[in-house]
Amino acid sequence: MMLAATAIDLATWQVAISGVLVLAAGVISVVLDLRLEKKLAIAAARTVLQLALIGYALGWVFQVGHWWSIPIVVLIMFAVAGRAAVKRSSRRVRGMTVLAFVALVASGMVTIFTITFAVIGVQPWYTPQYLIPLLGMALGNGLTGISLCVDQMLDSLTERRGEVEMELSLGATRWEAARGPLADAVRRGMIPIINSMMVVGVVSLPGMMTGQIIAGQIPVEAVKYQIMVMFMIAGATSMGCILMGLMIYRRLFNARHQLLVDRIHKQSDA
Amino acid sequence: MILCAGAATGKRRVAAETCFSATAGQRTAKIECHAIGKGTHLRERDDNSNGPSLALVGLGVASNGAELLGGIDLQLRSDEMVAVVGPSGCGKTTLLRTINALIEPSAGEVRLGGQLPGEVGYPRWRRRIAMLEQQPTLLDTSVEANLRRPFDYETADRDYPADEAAELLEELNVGRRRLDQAARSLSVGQRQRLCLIRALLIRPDVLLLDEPTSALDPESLDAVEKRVVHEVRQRGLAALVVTHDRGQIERLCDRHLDLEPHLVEGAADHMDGRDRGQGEA
Repeated sequence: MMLAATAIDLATWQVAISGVLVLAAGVISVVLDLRLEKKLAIAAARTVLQLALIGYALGWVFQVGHWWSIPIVVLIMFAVAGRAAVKRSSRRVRGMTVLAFVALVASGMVTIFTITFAVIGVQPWYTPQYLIPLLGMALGNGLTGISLCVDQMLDSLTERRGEVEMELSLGATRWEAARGPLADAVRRGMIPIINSMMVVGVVSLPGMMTGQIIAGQIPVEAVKYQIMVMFMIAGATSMGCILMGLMIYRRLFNARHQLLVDRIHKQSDA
Repeated sequence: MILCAGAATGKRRVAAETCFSATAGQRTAKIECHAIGKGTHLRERDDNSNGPSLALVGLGVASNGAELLGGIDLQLRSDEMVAVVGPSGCGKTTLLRTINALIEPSAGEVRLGGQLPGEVGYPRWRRRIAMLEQQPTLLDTSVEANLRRPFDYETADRDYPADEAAELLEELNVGRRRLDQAARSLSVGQRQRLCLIRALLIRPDVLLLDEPTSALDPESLDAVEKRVVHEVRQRGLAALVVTHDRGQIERLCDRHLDLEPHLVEGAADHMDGRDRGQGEA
């Protein structure tokens, strides 16, 4: 079999045909009374709208090439990811969205710079064609990790408050008392990426690699990129989780080594 | 110290509270401590035992602007045991947590040997004023790992005393062969004793006990009381114990501090003149 040099461009009507598959899902929902058809329709509409917007936005950034367009897009990505990272947790701490934003910016920028500057060596390192897709992958995974990490940390500090305060009451420093819950939280945030590194290529073919192969890249080259991306995601996720965990720790333990459990609130806006 | 486990002792608890409230008419507006029975002349006192004493000065605790405790004054010498009594919800546990510095007082101060927690350093303060919570809280590890844990802390000033731990396990009916057992598989009473052992091993100057014998059978109760009395009388430990058990107060304590919700009051000294008899080790 010959490899096509490039992917076949899809016409809009061709994409529309793929919508038939979503329609099939909707029919199943109606027949089995799953009551998912409305959600499915909204989700499908959002997929089209959001991707169309990002397609035009990226096209604008890549082609128009005003330098200031890059920080704008990157900032929006960080802000949306920061919000998404904390939106679903069942407990919250004031200022948590800002903390998630900071954790994502720090972990995202460090890993992206390492990859584009030191690994790929693209000039300049913030060339949007590399920066934005890679950052998107780092953030998408990083926010999932941070979200799990925050959930776990707030849950264990609430539910295992007795243990933490018992350790404090016997002379543990705040760090000694918090280390267990913090480590559990970071571990929890890291599990998804470790799991996907375990099965990548065996059970799943990552979207990026699939895309490159369809676009005509020879598989071994696509695999190299994918390995780099997996490592980048692992780095970004662990760094993001640790930073987030540490910032929450600083917020919930004061200099008097007291646990400020009343700073943890139940999430009210469901 | 303490008791009130099981149905039989439940009755005694009610009796004790009834007794306290019957004295309400004689309360004044100030919390006072009341000497119980025996004069200090009956106590064998080691002249070297006057280590750092605990002082509560005008201590108050508030939560969200509401005063939970106020105007508490108490001097606790080493080798002295004082009971904290009062109806449920009057802030006994909050008082212990404040002295342990897990909670910041809203008024007044707590000093140990003249020093504030900030001067001693909070973790070191808590190691010197160890607290035994009402719920026996153990880590999900073995009995031995639980006992060793406080010796991993930065504030540890000595190595884990394995021999002493084994002796205490024996003496308090937990059993030394249980060292490998999962701590959480023990009965509530055993867990209470394990927590006591863990606190005693770090050799605090002051021990705060929150109903430490509430789940114990009479035999274990006896062993625990004997050990605590020994620590107080022979080693100069100062102990502040929350208990509902009047018998225990009489057996063990020199004085009692009565707490009332929100109000500062001193209950009548209904125990005055009682013989504290078997309290001596």
